Amino acid sequence: MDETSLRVLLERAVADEPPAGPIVASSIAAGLRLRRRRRVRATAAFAAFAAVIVAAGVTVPGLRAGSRPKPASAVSIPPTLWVTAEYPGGPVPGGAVTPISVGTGTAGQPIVTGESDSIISTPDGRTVYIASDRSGWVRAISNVAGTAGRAMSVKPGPVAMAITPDGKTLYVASAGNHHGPGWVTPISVATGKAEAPIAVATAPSSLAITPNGKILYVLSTTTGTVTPISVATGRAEPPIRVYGVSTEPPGWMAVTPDGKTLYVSNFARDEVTPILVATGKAEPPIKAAGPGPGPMVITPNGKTLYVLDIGGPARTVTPITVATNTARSPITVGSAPSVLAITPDGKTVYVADVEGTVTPISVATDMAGPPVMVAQNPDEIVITPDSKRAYVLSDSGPQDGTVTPIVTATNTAGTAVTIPGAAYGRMALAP
Amino acid sequence: MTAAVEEFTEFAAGAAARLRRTAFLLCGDWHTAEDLTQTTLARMFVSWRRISRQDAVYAYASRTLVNAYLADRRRRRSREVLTGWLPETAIEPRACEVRIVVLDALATLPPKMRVVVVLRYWADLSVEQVADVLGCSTGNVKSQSARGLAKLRAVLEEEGTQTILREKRDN
Repeated sequence: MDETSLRVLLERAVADEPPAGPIVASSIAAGLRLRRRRRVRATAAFAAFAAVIVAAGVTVPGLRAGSRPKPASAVSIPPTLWVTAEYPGGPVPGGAVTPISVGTGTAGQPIVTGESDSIISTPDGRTVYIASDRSGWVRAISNVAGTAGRAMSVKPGPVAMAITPDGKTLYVASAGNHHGPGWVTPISVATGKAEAPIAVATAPSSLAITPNGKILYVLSTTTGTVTPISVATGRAEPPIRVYGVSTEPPGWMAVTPDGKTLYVSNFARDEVTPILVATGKAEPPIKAAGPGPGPMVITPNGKTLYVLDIGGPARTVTPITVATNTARSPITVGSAPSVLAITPDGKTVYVADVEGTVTPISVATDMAGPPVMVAQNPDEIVITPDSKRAYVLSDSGPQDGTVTPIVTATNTAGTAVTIPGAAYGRMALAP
Repeated sequence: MTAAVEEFTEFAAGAAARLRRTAFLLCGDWHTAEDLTQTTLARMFVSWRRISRQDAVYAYASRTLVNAYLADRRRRRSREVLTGWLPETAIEPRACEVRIVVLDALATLPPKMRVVVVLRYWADLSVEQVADVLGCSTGNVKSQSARGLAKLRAVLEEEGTQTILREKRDN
């Protein structure tokens, strides 16, 4: 049998094809559901970073970058929540970022920046960076002056950002066309100058930095690898293979506060792989309980890794004991959880659900409490460094986003703020 | 947003049938094929803005489909019971015979080899494109397709498919 015969046989095997269902329509419906969950990517990348920050031996433990000691500068920075918005056909064409005062809970005037896809704050909260995947730029927004700087061109397709714990360097991962080489561009926070881009594996999707600020990890989902980059030399080490990290959505990373272990969740294989930072070797994977392990958070004391199961009909959070790398009984939450966050005091894990609820889980007991009602389709949760407020960004549609504050002491929702055009927005708290 | 959805719909309407057939040759059943196609298109919809800017949208689709298939295989391995029987459907007998023989033969290949054979000889992807989809070397693709072809040859010739083929050609 030659190749031509095989082609004929294969043609004939599909010849008696039955009629298809409404594939296109159902794909769009499924895609919309998936997209809501995918919005957690940036949050997850941030959560990994946050775990790092918490561990940096700072005075006030905090989930956010704001947990660093205050800068020597006399200018005090009022805590501000920045929300990105695309404004398709809205009042501000292109895109903007809107500041929300944490003190008063009111939204300020949007700053026109153009459409952006990810946002991150420096540890001192003085500068917020936004990146536009489509336009290939990074812009700095001064949290002091409330103005946006010029757009700095980086390698095409910037998809993720991370800042070193000392707040000196911003790293921007660019995926290009998702087929060729990926890049990580270091940018000096002080001068705003970009250094030579570092080549990494194809399609980088998220970044994490060890608490001592020495190693930057770059996750590439297409090649199923994690590439360590030495922050000091800017040199990429040989990639660590975590076979089939995931297909889509991308895998997630989290570093333990002691900086010893990097966890990578493997959506497609229902596993979480620990990588020892010291040796750069992948340990045997942990079989997670629920299907499709996704975003993860680690308690500030480094004892428990909480993994959100976002695959299929899963609606569980699986706690994993870090010391033994074993999964405990999964905790059932909501109906379609999308994202999770942990309070910097390490007491509560909040899990948002597309139905418009946020479920608190007590870290002490691994028990879920009664859900708090928020706007539908929450995509992202950020928590203030003092653990007093959690902010939930929902895709309340059709174009708008809604930010609902939750008082963590009582688990009650406060007055929600609607941000025009922020349906697919992201948030960053500064400081 | 709306323009992007329209553009996606246009792409999906054009690509769905072909993706579904490729998926069928990979998994061997039309229902799973439809599920895999839907998963593929749903994932593409999510990243459409980014994907639509690339030249090789269909190659991206193939890659996503193969990933979905391989992930599905891994998930199913433990609970799937392989049988030689397909659901009963009233169809023209000869076509059915060829289909069963070919699918049975394909089912003897390991998942990755099956992907290589289907993408190369049915979806008409080049060695380089298949290597890109699977994230392996071109040498690997070449050896897998040679071995796959040899294995299929052995199985199919045993089954007397040659007669069917000859008939087809004579017609």
